[in-house]
Amino acid sequence: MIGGLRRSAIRAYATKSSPIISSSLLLSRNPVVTADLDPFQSQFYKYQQELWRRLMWTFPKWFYFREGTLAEQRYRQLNRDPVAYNPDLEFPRGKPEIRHRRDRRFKQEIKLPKTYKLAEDLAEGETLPVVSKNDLARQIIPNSRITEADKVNDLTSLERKLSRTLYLIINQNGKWILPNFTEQSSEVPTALHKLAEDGLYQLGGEKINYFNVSNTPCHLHINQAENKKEFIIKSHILSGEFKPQDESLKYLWLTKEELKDKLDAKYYYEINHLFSDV
Amino acid sequence: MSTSISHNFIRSFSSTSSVARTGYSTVHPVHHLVKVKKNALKPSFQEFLIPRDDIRAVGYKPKEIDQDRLMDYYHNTLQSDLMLNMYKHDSKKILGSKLRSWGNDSPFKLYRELKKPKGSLNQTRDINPITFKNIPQLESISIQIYNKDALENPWLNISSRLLLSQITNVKAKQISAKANILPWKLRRGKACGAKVELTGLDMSQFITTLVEIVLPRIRTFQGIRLTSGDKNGNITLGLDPEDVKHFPEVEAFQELFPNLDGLHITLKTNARTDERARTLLSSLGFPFYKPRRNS
Repeated sequence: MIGGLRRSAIRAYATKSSPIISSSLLLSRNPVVTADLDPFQSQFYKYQQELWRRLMWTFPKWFYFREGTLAEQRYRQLNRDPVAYNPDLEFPRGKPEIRHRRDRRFKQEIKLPKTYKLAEDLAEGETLPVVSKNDLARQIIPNSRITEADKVNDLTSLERKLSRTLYLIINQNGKWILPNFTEQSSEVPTALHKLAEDGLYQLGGEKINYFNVSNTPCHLHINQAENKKEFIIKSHILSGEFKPQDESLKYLWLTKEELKDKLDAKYYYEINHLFSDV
Repeated sequence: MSTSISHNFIRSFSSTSSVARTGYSTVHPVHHLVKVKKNALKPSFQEFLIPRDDIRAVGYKPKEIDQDRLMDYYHNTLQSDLMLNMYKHDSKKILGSKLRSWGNDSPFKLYRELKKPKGSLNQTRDINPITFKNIPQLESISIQIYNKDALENPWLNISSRLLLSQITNVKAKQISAKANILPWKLRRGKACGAKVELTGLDMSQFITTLVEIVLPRIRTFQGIRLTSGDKNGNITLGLDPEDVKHFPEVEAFQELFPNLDGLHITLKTNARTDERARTLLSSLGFPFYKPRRNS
C-alpha cells in the first residue's frame, strides 16, 4: 500500500518538467563620491560645524609660529589682531571679549599664506603663471560631482550619478531584466557564481575588474513563465569598462528609482530590497 | 496604651529609646565605603554635573559636525555585503567554554564554586551565526603610546600626549605605571605615556588617514599580521616612530616633534572572532599578511 503511494508520487513529479537552474547577476557600481545631502541635513551639519568652530580652542599660534621668525611675520600680516574694547568707541556688534588675541564670541578664522596665485592677487600688468599638473604648490580644484554623462543623460555610462549605486540591466525580448545566464551544455554542472562570471564576460568583454561578494546567491526568483529558477549573485564592478560584445545588446546602468520605472512592477517589488537606497 | 508609638512597633530585646526619642530620623545611616565628594554638590558647581553631550554642559563638543564618509560607505555598501559574505548555510551557534558544574549528587558539589572551563582558564563567548542583527562593526579605536624616557624626564611625556592629540583630534590622557619594576625604572604612579579612545567621526578620520596616507608610505609595511588579534575580534597593529612621521600633522612640522614615539593601535570591533574582524577591516582597506615561520 505504502509502496504504491510512493510510486504514484514519483510518477506525478516526473511528469512535470524540472525547472531550469540559472544564475542572475546583480552587478553594481558603488558610489564614487559622498552621498548627496538633502537641504535639512546640510543645514544641520552647517549649524553643528559652526557651533563646533565657535567652541573650539584658540589656535596655538605660539606653537606653530615662533616669535621673530619669517613665517610668524607672514602669519601676522594675514591675520590681524581683533580690535580691543575701548569705552570711548561704539561697538555695534557688542563688546569684544578678547583672550589670547581671539574674540571669544566668534569662531576663529585663520588665513594661511597661499602657495599659488589667484587672479585677484595679481598686480596690474601681471599675468597668471602657467602651472604644471605635477607642481605640488598648485591650487587644488576638486573635480565636478556632475560628469559629462550626467549632462547628456547617458544612461549607458558608468560615470553617471557618481553619488549613487548603479545597477546593470539588459533588455531581453522587449523586457528589462537583470542579466540572466543559463548553462548551455550540462555535462558537468557549473557553479552559479562561475556561470554569472562567464556570462558577464560574454556580455561586456573581459576588460572588467569585478568583485564577487559571495558564492552564495542573495535571492531566488522563480520565473513561472519560463519555468526557471533564477539565483541572484551579487557583485560589484570595481574598474575597467563595460563594452557590449553584441551590437544589438541594450543595457542600462540605473539607480534604484530609475529601476522602478524600467523593471516589471511585480519583479521589481520582489527584488527591490537588494538595491541600495544611496 | 499610648498612641504615640507607631502601630508597627514590635517589642524586641533592643532598647526602645530610639523610637521614643524626639526627631528620630527614618533615614537609615549609611556607612559609606564609597567616598562622596560633597563639595561637588555645591549649587555653584551644578553646571559641571550636566553630562558632556548636553548643549548646556561646560565641556560640550558637537559630535555630528559633518558627513562621515567611511561610515556612509559601511552602512550603504559594506554592511549588506558582509552579511552575505559571512553567511554560512545551516550554521549553528558555537558554544564557548563555560564554567562547569561539579555534579549534583551531593550538596557539597551543588554549592561548590563552579569548575573552570574546559581547556582554558577563562570562559569564552558563544559564536552566533551572522544575521542582520550581528554584522561586525567597528566600535572604537584605542591608541596608546608607551614612552619610557618619560620615566626619567617627566616633561618628555608632554610631547607624547601632544603627538597623540595632534594625530587624532582628541585630547590624550596620561597613563601611569601600575607596578614597581626596578630594572625598568618603573615606579607606581609615574607618567609613562598617553592614550586616546576614538569613536565616531574622529575614528573614521583616523582610519582614512591611516589607510590612505600613512600605511602606503611605509616602505617595509606588508600589512597587519594574520596572527594579530585577541580571539575576540579586536586587532592590534603597531607603528614605529619612523612610521609616525608619515602622518600629515607630524610631517609638516617635524621640528616641533623632536622625539617621536611608536603607537599601539587597537581596532575594536564587535565581531566575535578574529576572522570576522579581519574581513571587516580588510574591507575598510587594511591589508593583512601571513608572517613567515622564522621571522
